[in-house]
Amino acid sequence: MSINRRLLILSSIALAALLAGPNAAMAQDKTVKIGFIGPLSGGNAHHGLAARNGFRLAVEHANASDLPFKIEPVILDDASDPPTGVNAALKLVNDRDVIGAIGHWNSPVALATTPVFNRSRVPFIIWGAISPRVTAQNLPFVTRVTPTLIAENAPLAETIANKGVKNLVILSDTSDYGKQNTLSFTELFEKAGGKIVAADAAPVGTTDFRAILTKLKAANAEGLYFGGVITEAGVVRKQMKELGMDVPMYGISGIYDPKFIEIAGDAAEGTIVGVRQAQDNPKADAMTKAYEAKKYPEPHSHYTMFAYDAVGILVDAMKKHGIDDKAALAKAIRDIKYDGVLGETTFDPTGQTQVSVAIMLFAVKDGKWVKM
Amino acid sequence: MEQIAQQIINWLALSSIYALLAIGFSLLFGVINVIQFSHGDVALTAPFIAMAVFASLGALLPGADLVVALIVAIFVVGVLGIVLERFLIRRFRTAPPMMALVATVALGIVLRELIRILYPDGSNPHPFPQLVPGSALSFGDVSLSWLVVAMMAVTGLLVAVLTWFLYRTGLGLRIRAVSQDIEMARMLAINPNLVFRVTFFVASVTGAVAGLFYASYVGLMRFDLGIIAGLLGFSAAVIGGLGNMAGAIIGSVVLAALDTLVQAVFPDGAAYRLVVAFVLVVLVLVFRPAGLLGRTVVEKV
Repeated sequence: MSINRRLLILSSIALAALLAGPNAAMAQDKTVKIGFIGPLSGGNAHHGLAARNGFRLAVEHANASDLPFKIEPVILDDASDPPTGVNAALKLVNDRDVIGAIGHWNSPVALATTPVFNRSRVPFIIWGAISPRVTAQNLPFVTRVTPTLIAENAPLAETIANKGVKNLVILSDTSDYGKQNTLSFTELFEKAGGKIVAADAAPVGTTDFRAILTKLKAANAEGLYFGGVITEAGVVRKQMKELGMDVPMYGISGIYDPKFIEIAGDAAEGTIVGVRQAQDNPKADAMTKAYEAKKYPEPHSHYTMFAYDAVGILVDAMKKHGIDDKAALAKAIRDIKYDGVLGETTFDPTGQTQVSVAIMLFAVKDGKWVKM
Repeated sequence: MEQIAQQIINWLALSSIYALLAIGFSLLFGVINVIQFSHGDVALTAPFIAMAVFASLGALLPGADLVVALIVAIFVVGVLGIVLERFLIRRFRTAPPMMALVATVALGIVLRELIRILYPDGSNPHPFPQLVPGSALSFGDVSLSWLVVAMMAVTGLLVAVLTWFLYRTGLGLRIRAVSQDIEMARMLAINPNLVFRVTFFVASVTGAVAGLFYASYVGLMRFDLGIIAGLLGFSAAVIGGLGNMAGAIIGSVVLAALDTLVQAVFPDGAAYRLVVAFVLVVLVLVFRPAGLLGRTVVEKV
């Protein structure tokens, strides 16, 4: 008797589930989440906020288009700090509704979180971190829509060498980003005919570079390549001037920021950087217009476009391949041929973008970054 | 040769910053017998206060000088020291040392977080002006800025004034009396609370001067600079002998020498500067626990 009753209850539950199942699936307003991680506080917040706005804009545009599901954005801060980034990543991968995520400006943070996303089988697209090692690991769930630092260093090294500069010194931070910059710039500059006469590195957060700069100054180079990020770059530039190192400073997008000029002050003049710029196309113009119409407090930058397209690629793959099989989704992202604000994005077998991006040189003139 | 001369200038500049910080630690420990672990954070609030005062002064009195802001900042930090003594440190003077240690470490965190919250955009680094602009001497590849000259001069002056104060004034005599035997001093009608207040004011003021020089020397103020400033100042005081002013200065000179040497000699040496500094602290603690000059502390403990 009791067994019969239990059976009855079980079967009615099963029946109810059967009836309810298709109904739920048929509902049009199924909500899925996609995540964003980036530096929203700290010295690099400027870049994170520009990208976050691109992410928001892209999600709004996706929701306005004809999608079989609704997207809820989840925005988290990594504060340029690997442990904070990993915590944010864990928060995302432990939420079953999160289908995919985009993230990171800092390479050390990206190197820490990508294994988390890969292990948890959540597709992850990087919009800002540029160390080659991030995609060199070839994690199947990780792709990157921005070119690596090699793509930025190559034209910079050539331009400097072509100007007749024969020898340079390098100062970088000791993070993976700094090391990769030193490696790639040394190789590229020496291939272009120049010579690196001395190189040194200091941890991120160092504030007094005088002892190192005094050592580098003795090498009598024609310039200093700085392979770190904004704050340290500003401090180094200021202390170079104080020590009487009257030579230009070179760098890539890691120091291309108004904060650099704010910290370096008058000493900022004569700093030259190579920065990747997305090519002009009608879609990019449309995005810029939409961005301006939204009146975000932060100005848009190239990171806005990288984040915007990262979402576009993720949503496009979700639309075509569904959201249930994340492995298929990750594969779909890698196989994609996406026409977005950056132009046509395709990925190489390691998940690195093959989009062609122009590099432009900027110099500090009269307290502003000016296109050269 | 020129490189060596420049490194010596770098070394002396660092020495004076470390010395100003270490003197504060030493004075507080010598008199109150409490290790004030947030001394570095107290010191590094000075640049933020100075810039906040400078910004608001500009609105009130156009043309107000940065000097006014600096004096206000130094005074405010001195008063902050008195407030901390009255409401926090005094309670832990007779408590087990572990309690004072935890309380002051916590206080440091509170101070840092307050800077982040109260100062506009406080989580991010801000530029700090060179207090004394210009280059005093430029000889070949060697350059000596007026700032470094001022740092060394002010440090020398402060040490002289402090020595005079401690050894040639009535208040100084009372401070030394309390530091040697608080019960006996009390019997001789010395008010220890007054002594503590004065000591905290003096230590915090020297800390504030160190903080302002530190920020100006590196050209930057960041809410978390107090951690490293505190650790280095404390290490210098320990190397020289806690509670001993001459020891604090010698400890600072030794620490700054190692700091500069490691970076000047070894490739990528900056990564090892703290390692070397703290290995020295460990060695001193193992082989000469009272520090290089710390005789009196041995008797006291």
